[in-house]
Amino acid sequence: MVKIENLQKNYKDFNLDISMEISPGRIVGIVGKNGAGKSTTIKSILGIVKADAGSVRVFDKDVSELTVNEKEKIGVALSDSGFSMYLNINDINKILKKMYKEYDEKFFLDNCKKQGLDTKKLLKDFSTGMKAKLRVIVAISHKARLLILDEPTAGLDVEARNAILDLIRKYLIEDEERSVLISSHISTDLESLSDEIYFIHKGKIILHEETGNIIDQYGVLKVDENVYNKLDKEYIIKTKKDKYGIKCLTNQKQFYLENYSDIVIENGKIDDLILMMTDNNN
Amino acid sequence: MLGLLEKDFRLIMQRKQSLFIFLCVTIILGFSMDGSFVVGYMSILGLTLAIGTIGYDEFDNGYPFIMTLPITTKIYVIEKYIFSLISGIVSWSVGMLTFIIIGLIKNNTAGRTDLIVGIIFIAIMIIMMDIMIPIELKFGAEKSRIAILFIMGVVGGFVILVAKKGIEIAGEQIQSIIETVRKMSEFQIGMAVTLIVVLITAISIGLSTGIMKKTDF
Repeated sequence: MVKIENLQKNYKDFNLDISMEISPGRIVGIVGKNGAGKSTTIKSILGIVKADAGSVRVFDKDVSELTVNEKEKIGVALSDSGFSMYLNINDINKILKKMYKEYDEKFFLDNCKKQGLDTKKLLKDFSTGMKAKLRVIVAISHKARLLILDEPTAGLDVEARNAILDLIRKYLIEDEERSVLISSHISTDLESLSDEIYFIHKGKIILHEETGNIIDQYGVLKVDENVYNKLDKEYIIKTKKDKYGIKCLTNQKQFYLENYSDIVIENGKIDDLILMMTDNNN
Repeated sequence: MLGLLEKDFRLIMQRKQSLFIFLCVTIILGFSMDGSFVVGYMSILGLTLAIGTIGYDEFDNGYPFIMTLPITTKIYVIEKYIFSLISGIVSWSVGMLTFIIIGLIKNNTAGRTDLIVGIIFIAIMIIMMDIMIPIELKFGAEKSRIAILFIMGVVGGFVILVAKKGIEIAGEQIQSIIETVRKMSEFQIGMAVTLIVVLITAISIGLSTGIMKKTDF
């Protein structure tokens, strides 16, 4: 559905250079620290940031050649951009009705009502959570085949985050061919939603892994210097020293569980991976 | 395209109160000012309001999302011209209507010259639109005001220079052009003006599309 090959975008103090793929029916997560390149990647896929080199293909076509009909098949929620703050939901409903052939007015209005969004209130008077919910409802209201969600849950409380994640889940259950690209720096959101995850750091993909593998096979070993020296380091990806000892990231947790019964091994979490993979200590 | 027109119409309608005030001012001007001033005033007002929707799009980082909608940069640009033209012509019509009605009240029936002046206002309005839209797209709502002043200054200076030097260098040729225009029928002048306006609009649309295509959002 989406194929990025050697996409390069160069700014004065930042260079993006990535390759990635989104297959039909897959939920792909992008994680990384602030400024890692998540939004630039997403904007390149949407064709609103032009690549300096490489190719971005969406629906088997270069993104710059997408027709209006093909763009109708993409649902987008951006973290920092949306409809004008001087419109209300009734206005947006009328606009979407004319914008998308497959727009489902009932679905849109019902979901706005379920989420407690006032249809007559101007967007500028909405809370952060309300705006985020509306952005996702807009993205899923026209039967898109590809959903692109940039930080859809950023800055929200647990309740609002769960509401948004539930909306996305329900939407995906309706049609298993639908694909999603979702970026977030809230790792638990991605752990519960995505099939695979790309880690971006300083404009490069430093790890691409199935989410299930991260949870099942990755782990962090916490050892002291003596144990570390005796440790078989074949499956250690990264190490990091701190005042309490040495942390070792492994992608073969089971090996160490079986062979080193006395060491502490924490289950793999996306947050641990981010911290370990993006740290300079080695 | 229809979705974008709907969006811009709804954005303009957010300023209902301002529109009402403008309408009151139009009526007052219609009574107090002589001639067709009210027609020009309304045309420019309608145009400015419509072009102001570019500012709404730009405000609060709205462009990235708008460009993900099922449109292309070319559709976005053309819609701005169509919307500005519709808004300008609707306002022009209100101005003309006010002018005629007030004329009737004052017992000054609008003549053929007034109608021609009214039509000239449409040409001026379209040329203003052709200048303002690319500037607004290139520099954004805030900087474009300064840019428009600067460009008007440069153009004004250029016109004065050409008028002075042009007569010195090519006085006879200019005189013969003026003579040719004088000999033309109203229909011929109308066609020539239409052609010039269409040409300027085509160049303006080309410039605006180029600006938008080069922009990263």
